[in-house]
Amino acid sequence: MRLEAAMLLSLEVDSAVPLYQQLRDRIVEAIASGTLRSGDSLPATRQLAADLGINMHTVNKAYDLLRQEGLIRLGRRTGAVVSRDPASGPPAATEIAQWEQQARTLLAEAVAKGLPPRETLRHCQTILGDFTAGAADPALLGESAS
Amino acid sequence: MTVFPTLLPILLIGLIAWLLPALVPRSVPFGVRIPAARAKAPVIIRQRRRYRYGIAAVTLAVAAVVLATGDRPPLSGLAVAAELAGAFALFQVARRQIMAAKHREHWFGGLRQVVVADTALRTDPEPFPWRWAAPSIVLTVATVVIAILRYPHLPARLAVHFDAAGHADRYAPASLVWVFGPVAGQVVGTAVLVGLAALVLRSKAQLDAEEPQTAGVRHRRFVSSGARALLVGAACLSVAFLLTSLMAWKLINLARPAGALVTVVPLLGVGVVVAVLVRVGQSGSRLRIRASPGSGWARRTSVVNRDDDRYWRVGLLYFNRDDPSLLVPHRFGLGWTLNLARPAAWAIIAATIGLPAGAPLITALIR
Repeated sequence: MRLEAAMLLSLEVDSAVPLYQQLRDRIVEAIASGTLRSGDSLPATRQLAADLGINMHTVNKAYDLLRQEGLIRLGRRTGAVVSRDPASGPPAATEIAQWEQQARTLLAEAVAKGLPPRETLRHCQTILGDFTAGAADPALLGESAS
Repeated sequence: MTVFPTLLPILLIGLIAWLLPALVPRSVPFGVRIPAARAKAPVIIRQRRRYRYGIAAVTLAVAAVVLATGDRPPLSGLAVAAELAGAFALFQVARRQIMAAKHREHWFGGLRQVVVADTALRTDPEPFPWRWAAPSIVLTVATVVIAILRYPHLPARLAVHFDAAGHADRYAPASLVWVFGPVAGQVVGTAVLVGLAALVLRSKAQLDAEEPQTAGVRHRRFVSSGARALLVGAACLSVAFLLTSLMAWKLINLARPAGALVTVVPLLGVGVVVAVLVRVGQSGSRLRIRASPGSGWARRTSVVNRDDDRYWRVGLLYFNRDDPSLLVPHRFGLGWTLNLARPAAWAIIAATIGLPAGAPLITALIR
């Protein structure tokens, strides 16, 4: 019964990506896939650091990043609470601009390494499909096929 | 009939030491972190067999010495110490051999080491089992109430020690210290065990990164069974304290064999805790849990647990400055141990040693 309720976060300890960044990324992914919804609580900093066996500052840093991005709320009494999910409405223009900046870098890496645009788009669709549980926009599918 | 009181602990320690390799998660044989795929490596099987022969030999040898010398106090204490030292040495030999093979053959080479947490364990935690805590709390409150009501009517001289037949063989004046001293002991003992049960429920969830879906369930059962067992232990301790006090205050008179309850009930409590921890296994490793199909976790064979050997001194003592955990599951043992990098751990150790040592001192000072 509780098996389904598990909400797993896994961090790679020897990765070049800093642990706080990995933690932030995993939580963003959980929100995107619907595992975490607006209003869901996250563990207390100390408790999460204890379970992962990592420094409390690392968890604090990840939570702080998420707060700056407007994805979670940090309250003294409530702790960390998810404050945004796909149902919360469209992002602000500045957020889209910021995201586009990051997407540009990611796509540049694909192009620089010679991944054909069609392949790149296919990967993007698969990943988007993972998050939206197969409900990818058919319009997008049509565009790439043409 | 000659009684050998030390024989029981010697055999129990031997049995637990013999069982231990089967009670710990398969990714930490003899306190060495390994990828699960190596769990059946020849070196591990060989070392486990050697360790078990060794434990059997040490236990039998120590038991034979105790039987031959008639189980006299200073010697029997030494016998238990010798048994523990022998078990420790056998563990170290096995651990060194497995560690050497692990480094020589690069068991972690090319594998991705990960740490896993299940946030649902914290946002939807196991509730504190108040119903299981109730017996020990009610018995302790009852003892305090009876002590207060009975104090004005006590005779000048109290029986404070009873022989096996239930006859008083030592007396003390019915002063505040002698009446409320044992009651205070019961209150502190109950509070410590109830507090420990609460700490156990919040203890570090060391999840197996190779099977994270079932690891969360294992952790839940491990801590909830452990906490309940501790509360049963607390109830047993309270029963023994209450019976002793009632006998001292001449409210009941237990003859043999009922008088033996005072000794048997706490032993029963220890037995319950050990039996539950053996049944569940460290971190719930002995529980059979079927992963639900389609639970969504793709099994990536290249993912393994983090090699955390460096935080376990001599394979038994946890010291990790980065980890804010206080209570962590034993690496090679039953139940939980302390993160010695936390100042609170040292405070607990000081209190554990200090309270029993300090109580007679305070008693002596008051008199």
